[in-house]
Formats: sequence, structure tokens, C-alpha cells
Amino acid sequence: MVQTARALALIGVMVLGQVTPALAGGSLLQSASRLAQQAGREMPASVAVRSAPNRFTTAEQGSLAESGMSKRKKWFITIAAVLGVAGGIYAIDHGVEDNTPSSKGTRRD
Amino acid sequence: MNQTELWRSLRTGACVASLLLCPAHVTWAQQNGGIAGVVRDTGGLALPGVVVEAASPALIEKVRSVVSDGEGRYNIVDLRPGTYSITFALAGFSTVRREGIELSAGFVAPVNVNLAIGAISETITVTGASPVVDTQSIRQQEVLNTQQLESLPSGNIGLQTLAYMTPGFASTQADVGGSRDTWSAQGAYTFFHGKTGTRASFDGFRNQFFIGAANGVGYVTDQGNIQELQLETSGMGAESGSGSASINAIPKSGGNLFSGTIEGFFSGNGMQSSNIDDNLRAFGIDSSAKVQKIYRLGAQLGGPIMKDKIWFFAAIGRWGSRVNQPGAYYNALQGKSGIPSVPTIAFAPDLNRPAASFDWFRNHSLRTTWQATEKHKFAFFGDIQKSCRCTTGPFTGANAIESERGWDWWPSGVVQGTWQAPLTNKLLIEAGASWQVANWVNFAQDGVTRDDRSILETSTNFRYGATTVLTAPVARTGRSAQRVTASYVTGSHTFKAGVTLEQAFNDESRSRNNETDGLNYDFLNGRPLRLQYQVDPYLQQERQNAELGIFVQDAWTIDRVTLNLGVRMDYVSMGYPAATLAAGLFVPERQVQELKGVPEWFDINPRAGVAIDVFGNGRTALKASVGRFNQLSRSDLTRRFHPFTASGSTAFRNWNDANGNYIPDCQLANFTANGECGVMSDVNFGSFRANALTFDDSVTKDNRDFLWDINVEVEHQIRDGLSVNVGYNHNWDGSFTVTENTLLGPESFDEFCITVPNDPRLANAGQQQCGYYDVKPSLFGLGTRRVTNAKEFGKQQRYWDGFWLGMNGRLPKNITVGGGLDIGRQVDDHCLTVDIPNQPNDISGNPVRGGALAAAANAYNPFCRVVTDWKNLLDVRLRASVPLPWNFNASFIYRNTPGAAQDATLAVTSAAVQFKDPTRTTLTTAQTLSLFAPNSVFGDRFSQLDVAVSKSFNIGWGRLRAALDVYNATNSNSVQSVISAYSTRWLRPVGFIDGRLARLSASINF
Repeated sequence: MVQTARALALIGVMVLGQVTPALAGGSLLQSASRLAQQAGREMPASVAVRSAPNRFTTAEQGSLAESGMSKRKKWFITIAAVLGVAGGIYAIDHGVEDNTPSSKGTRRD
Repeated sequence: MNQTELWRSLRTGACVASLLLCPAHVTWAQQNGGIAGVVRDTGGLALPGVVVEAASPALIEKVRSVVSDGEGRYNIVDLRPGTYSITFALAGFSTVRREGIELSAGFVAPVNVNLAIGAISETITVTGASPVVDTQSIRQQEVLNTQQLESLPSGNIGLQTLAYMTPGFASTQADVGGSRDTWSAQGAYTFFHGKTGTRASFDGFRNQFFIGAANGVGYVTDQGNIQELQLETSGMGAESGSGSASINAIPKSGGNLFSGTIEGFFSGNGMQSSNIDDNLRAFGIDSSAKVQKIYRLGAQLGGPIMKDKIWFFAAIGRWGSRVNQPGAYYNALQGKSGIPSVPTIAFAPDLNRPAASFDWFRNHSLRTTWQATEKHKFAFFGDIQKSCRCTTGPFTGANAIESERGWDWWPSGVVQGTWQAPLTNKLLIEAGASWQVANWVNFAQDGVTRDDRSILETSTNFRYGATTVLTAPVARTGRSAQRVTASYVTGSHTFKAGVTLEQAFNDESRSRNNETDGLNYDFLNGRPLRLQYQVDPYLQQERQNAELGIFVQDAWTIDRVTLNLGVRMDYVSMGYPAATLAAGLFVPERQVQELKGVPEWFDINPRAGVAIDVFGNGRTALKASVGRFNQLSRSDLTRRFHPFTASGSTAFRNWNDANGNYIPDCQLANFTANGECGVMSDVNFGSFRANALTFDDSVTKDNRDFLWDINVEVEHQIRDGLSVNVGYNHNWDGSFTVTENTLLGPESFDEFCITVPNDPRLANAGQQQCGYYDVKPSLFGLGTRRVTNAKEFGKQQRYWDGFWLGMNGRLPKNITVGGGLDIGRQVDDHCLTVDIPNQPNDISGNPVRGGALAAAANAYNPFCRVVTDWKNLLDVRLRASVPLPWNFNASFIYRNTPGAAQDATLAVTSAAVQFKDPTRTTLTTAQTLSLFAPNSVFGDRFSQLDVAVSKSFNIGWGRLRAALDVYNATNSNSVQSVISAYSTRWLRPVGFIDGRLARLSASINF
């Protein structure tokens, strides 16, 4: 029964597809979208053919946001990072030789 | 425009960008990628109506969907770089999900699937190597993503990074781990395959100054903002504006998860080897470049302000360098002449004070992405930066440090915004705008007083004393751009039409360092030779009122063939505003009224190509393209036309310092010969004569410079993730401009000969060589000049033929490889007579140099056909990154490129020449002559190997990465430029690669 339905669906798609692309993009689109979304909302039966590792991911990377730490710890790390960066930037800005006219207030434009 | 107005402009630009939702994170579709293919059933029949969804964390809207057409074709365009999964769903069939599709900028991934009959609720997940051959696009391109940029020894990452790794780009001064100053390094992408003018962009908006030839980068990008670098070298579609190649930086955006990065690197004193050897010592070079410090600290934070709705990405960066240059020292005799009007007359190195190139940058940027509704997405970006290019980049020590000038950039920045709306699954609308401003001023180097003058020792071409010119007190330039496009995409067609519009301005006041009379001096063997004049006050202003582009293009797929057809209309109009300049020592008050339409050009640029999926399996593509491209729009013609310049803003006169007091004993404002001073080289100098230089309509209204570019390429996937490509390129320039003196003709010049120095390294050594000319003395300095198209006098040509072999791989285990080999031959033929026989002058009145690759020798020569041969244009560049066990990674970049062009110029006076007319014995002024054709002799090939090893640590809440980069690992001392002035210093290297340098890098991603 299921196979018959599938065959009918296939025939329908093929017929519609051969008639006109416009038709294919019309009501068929809507019904297919609806069915797909419906199926997505329901529990899908996934058939994994092969596992799908991301070939281009290098070292594993944890994430502060998903680390499972307490909110307090996350804030602590975040604030420490911000303070560290701010301190580094302050040190660089005050350590670099700055003889630009704009910093010396001698620009005349 | 004063500083207040400038800030107002910046704010206005920001408001315009915000309100009109004009420019940026939704990158210009040209730079974005896509996925296309055919859906069939298991019997091979096309399936229409299949819902195809592309999902990625890179998309704030999460999913983009289309439906396959009657032929089963689907096409999803304008996808941000990232990793995608694609789902194919149709009632009656099992759903298929294809995962791990890596999309880079500009790449259209072919993904074909077959659906099996089954329940739609069944999902079959299919994985495989991501496609690497784009079987639909015709553009030739290279892309580097964040991971590659991080893993490779990339130095200071910027627009130049990709050009550095791409065979075919003319070699420029090498960078060794950031040893080259950032500003000049970011401009190192000028010539590809002999073509002048690479368009540089940030997020698809042009990012170059509107100054002169316009090659310099306008907005210096913080590398922490860069997600991908994309380079297009040929085969660009009609949506691409002026420019013969294109480099674009695609910025990062936030995501639905908070994430951040703190990164930095450091190289210091003691982390570099000396690469001085006997060859260099033979030239008297006993010290190599010494890095004092190269540093960077950057931090980026991105995340949701509202999940799935508003993302942000903020970045801050500090970086800079200080590098002692080989053989460069401060002048021990600076200010010690004892002559008040010329405090410095000689140069002697102060060996206790080495001179360094020096720069630093401070960037602060914020990007937000707003998915306002399901179909409307907006992005905004702003960056404000202050920087100091404290020595003219690149400072190599070729001249004295005192002749350099500092560049104070503040405020500089960019504001951008974009709107993207996939109104239906077939119709996509985009719009954007960008506003970029750089406000800058020059300043003199330490030890230089305002009495000092710039002195050029002509026998060695060595400059000292002070800079030639200070762009001060006013200097600013800006560029704004807008664009609107509409794409209509079906399975078989990707149709796109759009409008781009740009405006730009440039204001530069120029003064000489000496504030009394503004004269610079030329010396010959330490004795006064010439006085160099410039009018003061002086201001040059240019406006690009509109650069308008309107284009239509379509990629039409028929079975395995995709036709790429397009046409672009380009219109540009420039001019200058009204201005008044006060009278000066050598010039009266000057006034100009606003003028528009100089130049005013209209061009139709067709672009066409075909890409064939040869076997229908997405693994082999045959591509061919032909296109016409206008050269980059730039201000040099308007600058030259402006009456403040055209009326003769600079000139020289001979100076016979008979009493040896280094003071020109004459009436400086009397331009006839008097006292120790000769007549002026330009009778129009100082007169503010409007017709001193005129322009033909053939230049200002027609004949915008352009080039044709033809490519044929085969690209083949030889295994999963690895493709090779081989191709042929032919390109040629289509319009040239020359300057003629209306009073002179070939009969106005007398031919003379010289005796080539008896040096076995020179062709014709010890023999007489003729073909040099000097104007008859009675005509010296006379006449007015006219700029016109070269075809009025003959045929000028520049063309390139070349082949390349390249590879691009993303192999298993995250191994990436890239690079290849490029070889070409360039011919420049300017054998046409304008004034001097076969020696025309260009738009600036300088001798045509002989092609885009010719050395900078500004010398007349009888060698008007310059051929740069195959062996001198062989270019090999390779790169690879290989993950190792225990989270180590190793990578390298290798470059083997042509050696330094070894030209020879000779400064001659009357005593060294023999006129063919026996009645004539003296030159009107000393001349600099080429002894042989430029680009005909090259030194040893240049090679550089950079390697990097890194290790990553998972620290639970993030990733720590530490890296050791070693640049110039072989400690090569390949020479990149030599002194061309024939003297005892001839062929002395002035630019050779810095010694081996170690760099420590670290980053924390959390």
C-alpha cells in the first residue's frame, strides 16, 4: 500500500514536473514544504547512511557559553578577560612612541 | 573641509548608512557562495518541486530554502561562507540530508542528489568530501578562510596576504613575519599578470584612496575582523566594477552563541638571525634588518543580543613594528653645515644611531546583524582608527631617514550598512552603502628643522636632508559607495541586475620642508647642480562626482553547460571645487571655479564565458571567458588637469655654485638666467597660466583606459578534496595617454651619444651608444603642453601571454594545500614619436617606463620595446597546512619568484656626451639615461620559506592555541631591489629579505 502510494506520488511528481516548471514551483512547492515542515516537527525516523564528521574541524574547542559552568564563573572569566585586554591595550598605548601632531596637539587642519 | 566638518561627514555617513540601510555584513553577492545542482529519483528522472533547504550556523536566518524546477535544478545563491547542511524533501520520497558542505566566498558548490521512494519522515544522511570544483562560475579565484589564515605563517594578515600566496602577482618587498610596515604591505597587490590596478575591497565596498593612481589601501583592516580573503584574478562577471583584479576581505559576524578570542603575537630583539654573507659584504653591507619589536594584541567578542534576531561582533586591535633597516643610520652631519639657509649639505652615517621603519595602529570596530523579519536582514559596521605610519612606507634605508616623512592618520574609519531581502525563494534584493574617510597629515622626522632642504645626490640617487614634500597642513580623502541589486534565481538561471554608485574626494595641501623659499637641491658628486622649485602655497583637490555602474548578467545552465553572459555600463565624472590660494614667493594669487566633467567617460563593458561540467559528475570543468574591464577609477587625470597643477607647479633651474658657498647667488624670483642660476625648465612656472597644459577631448571625454582579459582553464578534481587547474591568460591594455610639447617636434632635439662605462657587467661596455636626445638650447623650457591619446602618434601596446598550473586541496584529516606555478611574457611597445623620437612622455610628463613591471628609473632611453621574457616571469608559490597528532599543526608558505630587475642609469653632464651635431657640445641640463632596456636583466631568483608549528589545547571552556612561526626559515638573503644608478654603488642591494625571524603567537578562543 505504502509502495503504491509512493509510486503514485512519483508518477505525479514526474508528470507535474514535465508539464511546466512554473507549476512545479507552485502548489507542489507549498504542499511539499508543508509536508516537510510537518515531518520535521514530528519525530523523524533518521536513517544514517554514514556518520558525518566535520572534516575541517581541527582541535576540539570548548565553549564558555556551553561549558556548564556556573553563571558566576562565566562572569568571572569574562571580566578577567576584559580586564586583561584593557590592561594590555593601556600598556601598549602608553608605551608606544607617539610623536604624531594629532597627539601633540600641533595639527593645523 | 575642516575637522569639524569631517566628523560631521562621518556622522552623516553613519546616519545615511543606518537610515537608508545602505551597506555591509551581508556581503556583496559576488563574494558570497552558493549551492546548485540537480535532484533526480533513483531512476535518473528529474524531480521538480523538491524543497531544498540550506542550513548553517553562519546564517542568522538559520535556513534558506528553494524549490527545484521542472528540470530538477535548484540554485541557492548569496550564502555566507561557512559549513552547510542541505536537506532535500519531497512527499513520497525519503528526505536526504547532505552535510559538511564547505562554502567559501564566491564558490558555487555543485551538489546533485538522488531521492529514493520512501516516507518523507525518513531521513538519509549522506556525507562526502565537499565539492572543490566549481562547474558553473567562470571566475578564477583564490580564497583563504579563518582556519587557513590562522594555521599558515601569514605574518600580519591583510588584503595583501592572499596576493602574497598567489602566483602571478608581481613581487614586491617581502614581508618577514610583519617586518614590513602595515600600510605599504597592504598595498602589495598592484600588478597581476602585468595588469595595473587591483580593486581592493572590504566587504565588497571599494577600499582604496582617491589619490593619484589609487592603489593604496584606504581602510586598514584589523585582522581580527577578517573571516575570509577572496581574490579574483580573471573571469569576473558584469557586477565587477573598474579594476583588472579584485581582492576582498569578508568580515566576521557574531552568532547565536557568545564567543570570543584574545590573540596576539610578538617578535623581539634577539629573535632574528643575521643573513649577511660575503656577497652582501662585498657591497659594503655589514648589517641586516634588525627587528626591535613586532607586536599585536587583539580581542574579539561576538554573540547574540537577541537570539536568532540580533547578533554583534566587536573587535579591538593594537599592532605595530619597529625594524632597523640594513645600513640605515641617522645623519651625523644633519644640521651641521654652519650655513643657516641650508643647515645640512652632506650625509655621513651616525653608526651609533640606526634608523628604523616604525608604525602602529589602533582599531575599534563593531558589527551588528539584525534579522528584522523573516525576509529582511540588516547589517551595520563601523570602525574608527588612529595610526602612525611614522616613516614613509616602505622605508628600506635606500635614502636617509631624514628624507622620510611621518603620516599621522586621525581620524580614519569606515561606516557601512547593508540590507538583504529574499522576498521569495526566487527573488533576492540587496542594497548597501559605505562611507570611508582618512584624515591625515605629514610630519618631519627627528632632527629635521624647518630650515632643512631635501637634497638629491644624483650620482647615486640618494636623498637626504629632509623630505621632498610635506602633505600638510591639510590632507584628507574619502570615498562613499552605494549599491542596489536584484537577483532572480531559478534552477537554470541566476539572473542579476544592479546599480552601483561611488563618490570620492581628495584634498591635499603641499609644502616644502624649508619654510623660507621652499627650494630643494640636486647635487652631483657633492656639488650643487640644480634648484628644485615648487609653488607655495599649493592645494590640490579632486572630486569624483559619480562613478556609476549599471549591469545585467545571467548564469544560464543548460544540461552540463553554464553560460555566463553580462554587460556593464560604466560612467564616471570627476572635477574639482572652487578654491582660492594666496600669493606666494614665486606665484601670484590663484583662483579656480568649480568644474565638473573632467574626465567624463562612458563605457560599455561586455563580459562572457562558459563553464562546462565535462563529465557531468562535478569533477571536471572546462572554462573560458572574455571580458572588457575599465582600469580603476582614480584621480590622477583630474589632478593633472587642475589649474593649480597644470599651470606649472614645479620646475628646476641649473645652479652653478661658482663660489662654492652652497648658497644660490641669484635672484630666485627672477626666472631668467642671472647670477649663478640658469633659466627655468618651464617658462610657465609661477605664472598661473591656464593654457600651460591642455587636455584633448580624446582624453577627457573619450578613451578611458581599459583592458581585455581572455582566459581558458581546465579544472579537475583528482581525488576527494583536491583539484588541479591549468590555464592560459592573454590580456592587453587598450588606451594610453601621452603628453606633448606643442612647440616641439622631433626636429627640436639633437641626438647625442655616450660612451658606456667600461664595466664587463654592462652590455656595450666601453663602446659608444647613441639614441639619446636633448632639446635645442634655444627651446629649453619653452612651449605649452598638451595631453592626448597615444594613438594620435602611433600604436602603443602592453600585452601579456601566460600559463598557470595550480592546485587547491582540502584533503582528509584537515590537510590543506594550495598554490602553483605561473609563467608569462610581457611586451611593452611605446615606439612612437611625440616629441623625442620613440621616447614619449606619459600623462605626468615623465618618460614612459616600459610596462607595468618596469623599474622606477625615471630616465630617458632609446629602448622603446621592452620584453620581459618567460624565464623572468616564472613564479612558484606553494602552501600547505598539516594537522599532526596531539593537536599539533604544521604549515608552510614557499615563494620562488623572479629576482630583482637590474637596470642601469647614468647621470651625465656635458663632458660625458658627444652630440652628432659637431657644433653642439653642451647639454641644457644634466641628464639621467638608461644604459640598457628595462626589465631585460634580472638578478638571482628570490626565495622565501615560512613555516609554523602550533599546538591547541582544549581547556574546557575554550581553546588555547600557541604557535611558533619561523619566517624566512632558510635565512635566505634574496635581493629584491638594487641601486640602478651606475656608480660605485651600482647593483648594491637596497632591498633584501630580512633574516630568519621567530614569532610567538597565542590565542584563546572561548
